Amino acid sequence: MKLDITKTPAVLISQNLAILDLNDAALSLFNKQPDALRATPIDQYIKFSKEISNNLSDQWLNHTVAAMVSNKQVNIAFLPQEQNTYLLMILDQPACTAATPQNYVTGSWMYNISEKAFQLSNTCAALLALDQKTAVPIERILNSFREIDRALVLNAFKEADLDKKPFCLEVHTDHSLDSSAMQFICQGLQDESTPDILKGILKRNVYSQVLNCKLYEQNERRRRALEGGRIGTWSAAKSSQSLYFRWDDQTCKLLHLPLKENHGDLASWLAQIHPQDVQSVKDAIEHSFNTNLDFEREYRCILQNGESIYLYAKGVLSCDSASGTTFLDGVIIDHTSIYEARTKLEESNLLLEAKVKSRTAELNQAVKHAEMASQSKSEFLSMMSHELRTPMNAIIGALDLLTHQDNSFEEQELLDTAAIAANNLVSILNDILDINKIEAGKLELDCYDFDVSKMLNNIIVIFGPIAEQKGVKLKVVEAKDMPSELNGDENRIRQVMFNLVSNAIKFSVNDSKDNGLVSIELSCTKVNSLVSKLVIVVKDDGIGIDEDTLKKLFTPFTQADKSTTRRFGGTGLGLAICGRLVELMGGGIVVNSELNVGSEFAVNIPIWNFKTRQKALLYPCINIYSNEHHSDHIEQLLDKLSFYCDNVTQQPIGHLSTKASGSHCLDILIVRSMTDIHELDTKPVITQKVLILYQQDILSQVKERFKSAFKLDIDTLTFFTLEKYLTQLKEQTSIAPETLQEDDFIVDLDTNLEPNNTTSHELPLLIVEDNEFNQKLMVKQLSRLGYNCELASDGIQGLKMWQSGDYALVLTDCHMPGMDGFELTKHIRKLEDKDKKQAIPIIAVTGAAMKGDQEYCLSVGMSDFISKPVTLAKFKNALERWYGN
Amino acid sequence: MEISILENLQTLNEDVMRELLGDDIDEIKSFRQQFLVQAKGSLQKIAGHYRQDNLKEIKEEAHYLKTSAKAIGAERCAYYLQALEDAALDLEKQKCRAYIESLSIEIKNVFRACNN
Amino acid sequence: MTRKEVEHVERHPKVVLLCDDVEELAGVTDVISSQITAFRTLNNFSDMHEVIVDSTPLVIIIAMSTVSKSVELYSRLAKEGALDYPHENILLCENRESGIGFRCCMKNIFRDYFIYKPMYENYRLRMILHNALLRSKEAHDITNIREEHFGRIDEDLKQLIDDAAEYHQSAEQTLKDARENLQQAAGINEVQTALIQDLKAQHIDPLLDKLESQLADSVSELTKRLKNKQFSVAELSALLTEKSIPHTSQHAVQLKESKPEPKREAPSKNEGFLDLPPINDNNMARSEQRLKNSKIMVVEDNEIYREMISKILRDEGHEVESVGSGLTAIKMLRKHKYDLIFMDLFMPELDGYNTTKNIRNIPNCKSIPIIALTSNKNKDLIRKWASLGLAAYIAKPSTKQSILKAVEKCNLAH
Repeated sequence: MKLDITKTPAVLISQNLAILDLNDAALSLFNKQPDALRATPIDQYIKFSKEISNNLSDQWLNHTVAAMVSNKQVNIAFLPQEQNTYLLMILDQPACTAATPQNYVTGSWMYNISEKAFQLSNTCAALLALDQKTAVPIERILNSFREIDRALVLNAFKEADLDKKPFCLEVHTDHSLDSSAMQFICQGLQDESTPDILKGILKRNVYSQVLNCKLYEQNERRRRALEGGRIGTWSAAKSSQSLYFRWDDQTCKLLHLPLKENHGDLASWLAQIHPQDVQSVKDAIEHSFNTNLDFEREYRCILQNGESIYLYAKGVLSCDSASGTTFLDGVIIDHTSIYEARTKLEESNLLLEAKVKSRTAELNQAVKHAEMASQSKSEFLSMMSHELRTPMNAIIGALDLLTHQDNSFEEQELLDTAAIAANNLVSILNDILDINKIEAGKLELDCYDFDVSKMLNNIIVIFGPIAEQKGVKLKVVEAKDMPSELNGDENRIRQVMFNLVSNAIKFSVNDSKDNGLVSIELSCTKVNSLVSKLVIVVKDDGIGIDEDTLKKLFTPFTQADKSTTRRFGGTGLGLAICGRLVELMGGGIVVNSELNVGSEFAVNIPIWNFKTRQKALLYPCINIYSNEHHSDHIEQLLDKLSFYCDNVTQQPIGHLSTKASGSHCLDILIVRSMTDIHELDTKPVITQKVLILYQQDILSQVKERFKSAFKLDIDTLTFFTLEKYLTQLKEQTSIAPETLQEDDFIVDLDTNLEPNNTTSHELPLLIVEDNEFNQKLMVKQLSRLGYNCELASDGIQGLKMWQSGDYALVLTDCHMPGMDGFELTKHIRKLEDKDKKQAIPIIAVTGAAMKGDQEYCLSVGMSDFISKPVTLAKFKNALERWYGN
Repeated sequence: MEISILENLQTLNEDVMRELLGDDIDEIKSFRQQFLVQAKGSLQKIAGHYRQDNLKEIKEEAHYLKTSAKAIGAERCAYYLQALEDAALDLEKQKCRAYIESLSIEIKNVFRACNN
Repeated sequence: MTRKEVEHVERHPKVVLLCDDVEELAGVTDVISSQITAFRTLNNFSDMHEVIVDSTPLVIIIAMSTVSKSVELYSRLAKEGALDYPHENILLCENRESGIGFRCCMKNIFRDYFIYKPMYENYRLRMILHNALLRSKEAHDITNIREEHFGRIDEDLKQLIDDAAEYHQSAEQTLKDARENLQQAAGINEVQTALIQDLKAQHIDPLLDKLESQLADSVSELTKRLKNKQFSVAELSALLTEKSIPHTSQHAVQLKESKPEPKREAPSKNEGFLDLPPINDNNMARSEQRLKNSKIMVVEDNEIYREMISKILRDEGHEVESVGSGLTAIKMLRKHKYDLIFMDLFMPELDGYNTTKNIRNIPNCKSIPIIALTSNKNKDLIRKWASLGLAAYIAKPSTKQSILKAVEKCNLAH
């Protein structure tokens, strides 16, 4: 609804007379776009009759001024606005001196007394907020006014109906948003000829009207916003004790109420609220009024159609000190969708929570299961390993016993196979036990000084035949500055090397070639003044390892390929154990590998204490006879020999003189090929001291040629073997062949050194062993060695037998039901102490070859121990040491 | 070489080696030395086997040494070794004992002969 | 140190392995090739046919995926006439078909069977193969012995042996046919068939078996006697050699006393050596020339004696390789070519007889002359050994002359 005022061109200007805003009418008057006009000075478009100055004085304000706009004579009213802005109303009419100042908006009306209906001008209708302009009944006009003014107006008309006299009323309209009054003026009869028609005007201050207009617009906007947001407004007024509620159309719509029902008392306001929420809402409203605090509540309403909605209501309290009335003005918002969403959210939250809870429980259960499974796996494995080792030990013992019989070649072959298989099985079991121990963190290192070269030799001795059998060549490179002794866990380092070398041999069998080559390199380098590191490099030229496998190589049960397990056997535990052991020793393993080219395992282990190798001169001079002058072999040999001799010379084989030189020099002969052998064949038989270094592939030839000579494989030469041989050769000098004596040919056919048929072992041994099979086996083994045995099947029985019988020695198993071997020993020692008897030798037969166990044996008073599997040789050794002592 | 009649045999028939090797005295000495070393070991082994009633092993060892004995011309030695071999094969322990003793004495003779 | 060749593509194999999947039989081929190198694996029918017709392998091993396929293959080969020669056949089957395999052998379709999947006992397979080779070679050896080593033995003796062999074969064949016929004999109805089967199992088969074994016995007795005759010729030659020793050695001593270099003349003075053509100086020089290049292997466990022989031979300019065991000898022979072997009879592990047997299985060593070194009087053993082909026989310790004579004899014979 456009007010007339808006048809009047209006311009809003700032204090410095720049255009801030203007209405459509002004735009059309200036015939310009708003953007072009804004911020430009007003006097650019309006020519004032008087010069306009920045400081608009009272003579300008609220007055009309003549001016020229677009060559038109106009009057402009200056209306001061808030914030030092001014509204300029451009009035078409030239300024006149009429009584009615131009700063009024005026509408005219006519009233037909007989019809009680009005005829309204456009302006008038606008001022009354009515659409209808003709035949408007008086009731309708009245409705536009405030309730309190209606009676006044009605009375005025009633009087005027009769006296037809003019009147003037100050009225307020309901829709007008400011409180300023309008003047409702009756000018009396239109003319004398028409006595039924009254005429008049409705005047309103222009400023008020403009404000009104703005307010209206704002109200409209707010209404639209509230409507769009489904926000209803309401207010409660409290005077004395009674509460009066009013609410707007939007509220009605929300609550599905007829639009008219937009007011009422507390009861009607509460009528729609859900019975369960009524009390709390009522309390909250009362609470707000009592405490002057704001009201805020969420509650449910039941609509007439039975639907229930969720409402959010908020009210702000204010007091009118003048009237003594307290107002609570507020809004209600339909929260149903939010509430529903929230409910759903809550539900799903709950559901989620429940799910999470149950999952967590399941997970906990699973974790518990997994832990239990892992635990029981470990327990099972170690138990099974123990369980299996006992019979395996028996089997190995039995096989050993069998090999001591006269067997045919094929029988022996079968026995050997069985023995190898059994030993492999035991080593697999040991592996399993080891990995369990390491994983459980139970493995401890046992460090002491040891001869690293001896350890290396040990490995060569064991793997030499295996490598040869597989057609793999073994090569050893021992750095010349290797310490003679170093401090560490020899057994564990050896175990690591065993694994690596055994793997290398196993995998160096490459399909694409005949001969594999495995090299073992040992060196020791200084890290800093305190720490050195032992570096062990094991290389092969085998199938190699692909990258994926490389990553998981050190996890248990992994071999380079599933198929390799089938092809090469093994538990897949070896490398895992190696990795853990090296880790335990504070070192690391680096693996380099290329498929079908080979692999290299480099182990480094930190070493703190070691002894550097000292010179030990054994010979005044050493002559090397070799057809090869410069080679790695010779270099390494010279390096090593420099520790034993200061004067080493080198000559070709042809220079070898076969006659004993008589000097204390040593000849070393390097035989590397058949050509070398043939050259030697042309020479007389060698009679002097000589050490032969040969190449593995002509070993059989060398062996047959030089049966009694000292010989070593040049590829696997170590300090240990070299020193041993050099020392032996030196000592041999004194047992030269010519020192054979006649007495050497005397034979003794009677003294039987073998315990076999002797009667000297009269006192029996006491065997305490629970496993029946082992009992049988031990009796057999011992009787083979010529000992009589008596059997006890546990510690208790053993103790009784020891007390009542006379035994030379006790052999006892460690772990037995009832009384174990340790208990038995303690008892025996205690009784011996008490009776001041001489201590009987007690030898433990231990299952585990662990250092700790053995120490424990000795700590409880046992004399010695033998580790299973017990072979004849082990029995013989131990019994010879202890029997009769 | 006939080794069935002891009387016809020599302790050390030098011709045998000469036949084989000619006049190389050093060579011959060396072989004799080797034989004695071998004999020493063998004899102890034989004695050991005897003590253990291991007659089969005696036979093997005796056979081995016999070849050497023949090679250097220790004819009487070879005779006793052959006899020992046969006795061992027949499991005649008493005979074995006698032959081993004879052998021991005979090897001493060879030793003396070699060192003359 | 070098590993054995595992290339099973021998041009003229003695043993063939017929199968449909070579991969499956890798283990078996390894075992077989470790036993015999003259061996080939075939999986294509036309190849099989061609190779069998070309080289008439002594042993045919069939290992198709199932026993029925194996039987099918064998009968197809038989129908096409590829198997019309004496041979041994061995069936390889899987464990689950061991019953069928057994029955096939009982019905004489195959001579023997072996479970190769899983392979529990490779020695068993080697044994089967060994026996098969031995059996099939019996016939061949008879001819071989004649051809290679007893070339100068009386033709009649040869003929006799041949006849015996042929007789043995044909008799065996007849028996086999008879068995097969019997096998196929079926009754009018099932009851009758069953009766026939029973009858056969209880009476006829044992009779046949007995007949066969008697036949085999008598033939082998015959063969043995014949071989004894052959041996006695060889023995005679050896004895003659031995007899000639004192004479020559004395002579040599005399010569040595008078001349510093008597060696060259010594052999020429020998008239007693068996079958030796008169040697004149020209002849001698020529043979010396040739002998210089001889590569001789000495196999003897006693190192003193070994060194002596080696030394004697080396002094004569021969290239000598001496080894202390039969196993080493076999290893070396596989790799290198030698002209002559001296071998001891009694050696630990592998004796002379068994070493020789192995050597004869090595290609290129079928006819290498072997001189036996032994003081042993065990005629049976030497006889047995001689059957494998011996060039000469020297009693230990012998003399330089007798050793060199033997070498000469071998060189001239070749």
